[in-house]
Amino acid sequence: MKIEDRLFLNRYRADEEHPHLKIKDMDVCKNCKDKPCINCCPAGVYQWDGEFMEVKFEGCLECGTCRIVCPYNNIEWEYPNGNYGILYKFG
Amino acid sequence: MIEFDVVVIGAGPAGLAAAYKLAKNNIKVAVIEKGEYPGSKNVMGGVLYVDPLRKLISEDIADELIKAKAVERNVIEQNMWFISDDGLVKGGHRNEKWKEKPNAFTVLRAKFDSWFANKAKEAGALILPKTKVEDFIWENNVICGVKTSRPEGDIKCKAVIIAEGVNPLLTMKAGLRKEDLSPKMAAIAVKEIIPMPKEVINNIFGVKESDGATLEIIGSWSQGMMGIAFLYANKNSISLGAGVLIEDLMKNNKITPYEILDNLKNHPIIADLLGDYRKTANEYMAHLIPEGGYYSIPKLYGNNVLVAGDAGMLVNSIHREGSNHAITSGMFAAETLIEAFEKNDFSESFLKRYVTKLENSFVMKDLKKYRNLTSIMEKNHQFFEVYPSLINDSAYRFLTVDGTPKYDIQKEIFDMLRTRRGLLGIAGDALKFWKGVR
Repeated sequence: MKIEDRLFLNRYRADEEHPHLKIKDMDVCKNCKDKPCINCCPAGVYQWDGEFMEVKFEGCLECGTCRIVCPYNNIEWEYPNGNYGILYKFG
Repeated sequence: MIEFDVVVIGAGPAGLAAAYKLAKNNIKVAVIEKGEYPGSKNVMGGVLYVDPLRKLISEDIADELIKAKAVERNVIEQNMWFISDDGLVKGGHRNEKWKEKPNAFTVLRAKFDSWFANKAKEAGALILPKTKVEDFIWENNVICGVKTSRPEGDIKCKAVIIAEGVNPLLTMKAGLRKEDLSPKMAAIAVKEIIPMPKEVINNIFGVKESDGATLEIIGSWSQGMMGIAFLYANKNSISLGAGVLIEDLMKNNKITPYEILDNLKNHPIIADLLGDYRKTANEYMAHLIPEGGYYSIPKLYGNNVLVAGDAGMLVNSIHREGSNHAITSGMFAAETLIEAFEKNDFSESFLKRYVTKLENSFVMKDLKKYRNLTSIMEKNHQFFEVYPSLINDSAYRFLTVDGTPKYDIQKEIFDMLRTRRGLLGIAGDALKFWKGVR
């Protein structure tokens, strides 16, 4: 199953105006060789287009993996505001 | 500004256990939860042991859980499978006694946590959902409340219990943890809820109507990474998940957590087991599991503050025990604060007795016992790579009848063990494993 199909199963309340994940300095990502956030994120939130790290925070499962794997501590990570973000019906 | 005796951060098993106990003792407690309702953001594999709830609530809690439909199935059989690319060696245990006195239930957290929150509410706790704790309120370097995401949402209190879960953001803000989690201290686990008719589930696990079973799988699906997969029987679905140590996933740097889960699903034996149901799912989730054990535990107490559950890294991953540690530590945190209210002493030196309670219980005793096992396992990937294939190939050779005399077959197996791991290697691994669990 593709990650898009998996995320489509879930219910989210995205806070479009307040992304809860941010790249602090794009140059740091440019110089990061392995970019572990891309492979380690279970929701495929991070995508590198050669110049820019796209952060699809809307599909975030709020696990915290990217925060731990970024070797340069370059991700500003917080939980979405109260009542926003992932909403599991089974859990 | 509103005032409570105690503020609990997080409506998971640790926070709710603490709130329940405090409220039962007429202490004014508020539980702050960022999700829409308790359980809406909570994830675990799905096995909940009953014993801590018997101690916290009542001896008859198993019946109540079933009646309230807060749990899925009563686990009467637990299995461990070792798979290679093409083989499977099974181990397991079923017991009739578990039918009479349930030991564990499979659960879906959205349902169970909602039930538990209602229990705390009935006892007198206030549950404040849709609210995030942003920071603490400090007075003379001592925590005396929390700042929440709500407008004018500051709450004053005498003590705070941090039960925020595995990401220790507030534990660090409280000064109880200096360093964040590192990639060797946590596993990333992903899980799918796969809907299935009851009869199919009963067939897969070999159980009847309300009985449940668990299945843990070690082997080739993890591609040598330290990890464990699982299949749990719910009422009308199965929980299928896989987790690997983050450090190993970083080193691999090619595969994503969900591709690892697909590896497992596409294993011919697992694919046979699940049939076409493996192509559907109701929900997909991810969660970190604290794997650091004893050495990763932060300071669990300070002036006016205690840490419980995953935030305290109180997980015994070898026995997949986490929620029972959470409930037990939450209960101890509450007991400690009840004593603190009696003495009107919330100082660090008084609250230290929380750790004594943990040390005198199975929680810290087990974590201490296994303190080196995780690091032994993470340095010795043969436990996840070589051995599952070795035992499968040995079993295959031993059980295949092709006219070879048994003496020669045993010699072949012996040679296989010698070339693929070495006799000294096997002896050394046995010793390492023994050192880890003794």
